[in-house]
Amino acid sequence: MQIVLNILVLGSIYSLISCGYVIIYKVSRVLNLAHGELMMVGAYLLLTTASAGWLGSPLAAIGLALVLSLTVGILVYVLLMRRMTGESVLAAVLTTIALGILIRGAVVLLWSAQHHYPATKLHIANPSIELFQNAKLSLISLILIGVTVATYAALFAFMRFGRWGLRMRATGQNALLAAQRGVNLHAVYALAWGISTFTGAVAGMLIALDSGLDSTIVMIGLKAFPAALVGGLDSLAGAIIGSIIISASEVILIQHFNPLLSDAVPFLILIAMLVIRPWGLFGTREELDRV
Amino acid sequence: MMLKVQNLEVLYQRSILGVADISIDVPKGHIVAIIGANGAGKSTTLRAISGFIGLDDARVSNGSILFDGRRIENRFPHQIAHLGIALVPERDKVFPNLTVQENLEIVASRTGHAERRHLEASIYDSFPRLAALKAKLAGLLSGGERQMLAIGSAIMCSPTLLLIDELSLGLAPVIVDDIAERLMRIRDELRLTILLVEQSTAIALRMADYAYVFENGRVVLSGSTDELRNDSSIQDAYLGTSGGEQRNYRHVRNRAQGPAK
Repeated sequence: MQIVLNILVLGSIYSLISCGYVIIYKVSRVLNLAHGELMMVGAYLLLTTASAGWLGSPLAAIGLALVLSLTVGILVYVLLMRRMTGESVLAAVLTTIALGILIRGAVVLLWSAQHHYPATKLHIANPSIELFQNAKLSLISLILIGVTVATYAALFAFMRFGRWGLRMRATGQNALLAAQRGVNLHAVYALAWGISTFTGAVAGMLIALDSGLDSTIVMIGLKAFPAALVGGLDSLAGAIIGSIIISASEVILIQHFNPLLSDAVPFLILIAMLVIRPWGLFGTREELDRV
Repeated sequence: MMLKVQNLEVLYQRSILGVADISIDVPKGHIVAIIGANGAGKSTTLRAISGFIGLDDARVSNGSILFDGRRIENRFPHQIAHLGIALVPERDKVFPNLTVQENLEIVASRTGHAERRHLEASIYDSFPRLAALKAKLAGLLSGGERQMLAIGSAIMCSPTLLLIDELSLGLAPVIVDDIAERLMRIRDELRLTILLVEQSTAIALRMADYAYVFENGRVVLSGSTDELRNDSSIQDAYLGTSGGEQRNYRHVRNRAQGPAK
């Protein structure tokens, strides 16, 4: 039972992160390889707001960090990625790699490489809860699963029924036609970057609250990328399935074989997938030649 | 004059000439047609009016486009749409993974909610076929239905000037007649001005009041459609009612030398 819970928690973490890859790819065909780093920024922003005494309650600190994360995402588009429109997709992807490296360096400079515990700063207790016999889960992990479910429900509803969600899908299919129909492309792209960074930051903050924070958190963001790709980069449902596949294989390997394999196997699955079915389980096949 | 294009020159990728020197006038309330062969610059002219995006890597490098007295060249397509110009493109004219209703829904119109509802009702009224297909994915529609939806979603922008790139291309004549008739009705109802690009000279001359003939990125002939219908060179080149082998061959050659589309 414990193993199922572990898969569920890790799968939730990957799902919450990988939807960010999917949203930006779906709307603009750009693979945001700085997503893991932006997730890390979200977690460190919580560390900063948690240290600010004047905020009072932990909820205010989390709320402010979330608003800041959304702003960071929008600013990344407005100040950086906007200039890449009209350039090749490859140039845009390389820009995100450069941004990621920059963020990694900046985070160590700003917040030091030390291990931090935002949960203690916020006085949030994280007790173990026994859900079943011999199967335990931390409170934050439980919240994480709930938040993931709620996030995906909101995203599905938004993309299906929200006017701006429809516009995001339309822009992903044919940006020119969307613009000709009066849709401001820059607004759509900025929104996609904002939502993507926001959901990533939520994941980063919950991981930091659960198990502390240092710059190795980037590795988790990096492992969510195979999850998004296995599922199909333009499919939200695929991101969930891909996340569960990656997390299941990882947890089972740690449990029954060698824990050292856990960092390598997601990428082995990624390579296998790229060879067999490069557009992913639920992805659109024709989209691939645009990458 | 509602739309005034003066000495328009369009460059693709900073070096390839799309159109060289185009001047056209579209008076309010009229239907004006642009006719000409493939690669004559018809579509490029419409695209220049409706605006380029970064991916097109194109820009108006010379001349001006005036809409209601305002210069609009090299603005973003959504800004031009908000000024009241809507385009029915030649290809990729609907969003295939959205339903018919969603295709109308995503339009960011320049009008309020009440006007949107009114326009939507007019569209479904004029094209009852679309009303029956509301929940169907646009990718599954037939060519004629797609054209209706494309016209509908352009009208959803609440335009005063409608640009249509190829009304008849790839459609059966009976369907073209049906769509044209419905288009004329909705145009009367909403008092639209139309600039129409057509490969079929017969249809263009039937629908429009005035027409321009393009060749190799330039205007070579213009006049009221009554005049053009009786013009012998038009008959030779585009209606195929007279003229011998020699002339036709020369035309084919001219087309081959024309600028890239």
